[in-house]
Amino acid sequence: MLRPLCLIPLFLPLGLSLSGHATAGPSADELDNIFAFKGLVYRQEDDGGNPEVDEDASVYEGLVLVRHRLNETEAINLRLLGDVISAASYDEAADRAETVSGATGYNPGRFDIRPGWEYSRSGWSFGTHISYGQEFAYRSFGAGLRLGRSLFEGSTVLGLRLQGFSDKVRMIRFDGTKESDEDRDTIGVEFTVTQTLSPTRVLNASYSYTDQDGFLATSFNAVRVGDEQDFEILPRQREREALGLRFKQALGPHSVETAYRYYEDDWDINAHTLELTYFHWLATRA
Amino acid sequence: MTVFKPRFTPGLLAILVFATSACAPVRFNERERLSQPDMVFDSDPLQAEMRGHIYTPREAAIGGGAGDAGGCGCH
Repeated sequence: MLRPLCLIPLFLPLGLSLSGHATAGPSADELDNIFAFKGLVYRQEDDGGNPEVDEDASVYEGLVLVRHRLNETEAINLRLLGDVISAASYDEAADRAETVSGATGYNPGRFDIRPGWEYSRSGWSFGTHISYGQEFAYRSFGAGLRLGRSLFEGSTVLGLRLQGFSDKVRMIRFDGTKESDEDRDTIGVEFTVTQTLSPTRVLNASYSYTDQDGFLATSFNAVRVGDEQDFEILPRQREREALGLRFKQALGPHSVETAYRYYEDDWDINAHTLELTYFHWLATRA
Repeated sequence: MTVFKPRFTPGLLAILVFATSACAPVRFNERERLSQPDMVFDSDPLQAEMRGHIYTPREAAIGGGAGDAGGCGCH
């Protein structure tokens, strides 16, 4: 099996984050009106580690979330995501594909649109959404369901989320050639429990399982074999698991969140992520 | 083909049992502090989206959870 030259890019996130809410601190289960937006800038700089490949890249991303309450129990929502991408492999593949086969047209990035509907009543919550995303070499259709249940006067909240994608990979190769489109199917399930431990402590645990089938490589990625470049080849099936734990502790008016996540899959990739976040109130609470 | 056997399920069930049976309910009138935004998980509706951006490159694919969007994983 060929190994990709750079399957895991070393993104250096330069944080540029802006957000605003129509309401103060809405939780995921509430149906209040929301308008929220964020902008992100990613910069990946090539330090010359691989002299054969230019690995400079930049991604400018915008995220918008709008939720509108319809009545006491229902709300509709819309999430929009857009990326403008500049990367050697991405740009070259698009340019060559356009030159050789006219396969792309002008398409500098990615967009994704996800409308949804939410319902909440008597300790139960339910949500559903559909999604469509597109890049020059990729199209994705998705749908999801979410079910939540609050127990013991709200001390325990259980959540179940199901999600599926039926994607189409346009087989535009790094050399500009084009082959027949390939499929990629993804099914995922996530289970969460949030438990109040005391008036100042709360715990959240989550488990997710994802199964992917189909063409899982990036069609326009190139790998070097000796002096030759070849297409990226990856297994056509992948099962993934992640376990996450998050704990919040109030410290007077301030608080600390500690989070740990472990991920592994059947490609023998595993990852540990540890996060520590401190919340400090700068102004007096209303 | 390698058969993948989920390993976390027993541990998660143990956590669930602990969480739902070993803790006395905290009454609603004791939750003033817990209702503040900083004590609510993902009170910022887009924070979870941003969190996914951390996991994506580290786990060599788009997303690690069921809630993540489809995509080519090329950036």
